[in-house]
Amino acid sequence: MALVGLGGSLFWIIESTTWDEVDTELTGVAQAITSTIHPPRRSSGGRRPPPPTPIPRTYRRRIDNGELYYLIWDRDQNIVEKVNTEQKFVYPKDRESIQTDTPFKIQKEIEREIIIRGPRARLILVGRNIEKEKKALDQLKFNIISIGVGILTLGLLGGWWISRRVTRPIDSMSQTAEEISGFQFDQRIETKTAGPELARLGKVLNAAFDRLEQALHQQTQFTADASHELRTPLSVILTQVESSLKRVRTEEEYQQTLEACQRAALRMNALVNDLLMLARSDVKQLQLQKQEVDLKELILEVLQLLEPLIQEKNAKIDFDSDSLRIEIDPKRFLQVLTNLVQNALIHNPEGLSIKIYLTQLESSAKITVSDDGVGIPDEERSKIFDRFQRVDQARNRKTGGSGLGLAITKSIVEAHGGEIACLPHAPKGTTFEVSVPSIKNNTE
Amino acid sequence: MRILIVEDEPDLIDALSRTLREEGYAVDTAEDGEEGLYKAKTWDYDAILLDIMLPKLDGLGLLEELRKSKATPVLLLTARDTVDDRVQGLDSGADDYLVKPFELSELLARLRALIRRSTGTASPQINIGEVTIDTASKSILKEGEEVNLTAREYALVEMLALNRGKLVTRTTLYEHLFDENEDSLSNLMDVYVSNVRKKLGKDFITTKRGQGYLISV
Repeated sequence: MALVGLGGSLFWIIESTTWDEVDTELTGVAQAITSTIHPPRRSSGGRRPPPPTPIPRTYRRRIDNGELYYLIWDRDQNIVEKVNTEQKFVYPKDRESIQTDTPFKIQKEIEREIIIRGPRARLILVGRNIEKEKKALDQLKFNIISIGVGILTLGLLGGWWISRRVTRPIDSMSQTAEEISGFQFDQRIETKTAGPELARLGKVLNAAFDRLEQALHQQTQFTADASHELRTPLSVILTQVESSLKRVRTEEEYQQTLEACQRAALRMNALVNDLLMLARSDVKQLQLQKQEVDLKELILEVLQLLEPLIQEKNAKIDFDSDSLRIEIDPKRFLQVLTNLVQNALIHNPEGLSIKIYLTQLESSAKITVSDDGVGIPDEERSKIFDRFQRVDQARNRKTGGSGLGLAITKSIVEAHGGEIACLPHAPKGTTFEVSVPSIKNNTE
Repeated sequence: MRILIVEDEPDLIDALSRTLREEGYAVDTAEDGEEGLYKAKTWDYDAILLDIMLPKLDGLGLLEELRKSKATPVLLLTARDTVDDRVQGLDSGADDYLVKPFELSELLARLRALIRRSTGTASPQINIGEVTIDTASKSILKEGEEVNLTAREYALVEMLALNRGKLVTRTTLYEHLFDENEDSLSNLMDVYVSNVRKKLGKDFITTKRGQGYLISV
């Protein structure tokens, strides 16, 4: 629109200037002709009117060339003089408005004329052919329109190109994002070709995709591990039953088959319970039945529970502590402590010693379980709280562990608002530290 | 046919070895990867059933080590069922792959196919004169009539038939027909051979004195 306006006004200015020039010229000629007319003779004396002056030579020549034409009417509307034209002219209707200084302008098809008032109420019309000017103006109009169209096209193309440049990275981002939402997680947004702002956005999105991919991978891995753990006892049941049904068996054989099936079913049951518990803790639905408990009593209970295993492993237990009262879910915490001590017993050779102590800190209680056993390699230590993570893949099978023990331990501690850490124990072995916030005045 | 089962689940080993013995196989077992590798390298098994998750040395590690010296047919038994797991298993040198839980009938069929392929026999039926041996149903027909053989007798015939035209030494026969827990009494083989001759004909098995036995082409 602005372009059309600009072109229009430019044209209008040039056009009016052109006609103004023509009019000025014509007016000059008309005035020169006026001065050739004799003024009226005044009967009542007075000054003598100035003598008529001849038309200047430049105008004279143009009139002689036929470039200009003119016409003079007297006050009775008769044509007194008509030079260089054969046209028919009509006497202007509004005679009074025509003055000496302000010419009356007439625009015809190919001529432009002006009329001024001369002495003795004569009207002088001067005109000339303006085909040349019209042609020039038409040419100008054409040029302006062409340039306008050119600029417009260029603008549109440029705009399209710029917008393409801007939107291409966005398009590619959306495309990548769509592909990723279709579970093609190996795709990433190309950040090299985008502008700096978009590149930053792309990097942020890529980082988010990385985390998403990792989370999804962990989820997939967890599901695969869980189904693997369930399949093993399931295959025991199926194979035992199928083998048993192949022919008639003795009572003793049936008994053995049923016992094997029972063991497998119990294992599946334990695993399903563990999985359910983790699922609940994942959605923060782990119900805690908190009450005030003496941690010392709880640990003594754990040691009593594990007494057969302690004896079997010929382990030395070092535990001597004052009472430490704290508000926790005793059943869940029994599981935490049993898990830690049992792990130390299972994963270490006979004759190990386990040291347990309680520390009252300013706002929390700390339980430390250390052993002087084989220890856990640094690279494994960060992963031991992961689900189905085992330092030795099969060592747990004999003990019935599912590989979820420490993951569950951690989720219980965290449900209590506490923390658990695994540290190397000097000079050898492993230390687990559990800290739980203590709200009340715990010491006796 | 002698099979090695490497599996750390005692209840699964029990059921598998019972069934395989009833099918006429001699069965050895190992409960961890190292024991499994030792046995696999020591004896010429006709096939190995191998679990992947094993203590001490996992199944794929065992397989890799075994393939350096032996081409014993290996059937992987595992609860891992993704395509990647299967590909990895087969690429490690396994001949077949069965996902737990499986049906015993499928396991037995795959085992038969595995042994058949390893001896270069494509068809489950072997024809020797008037005698037809069906390795799928483990039955033997003579002139169209089914002949009753014990599992051990059948195993002897199958072993010789699969190696038709070749001399099979007594040691080889012992190694393939008896498991590690059986006392290989030297005259036990003669008893089986004589029983088979009574049932299938005097010339069905040829004795190479002091060397072994063979079934002629």
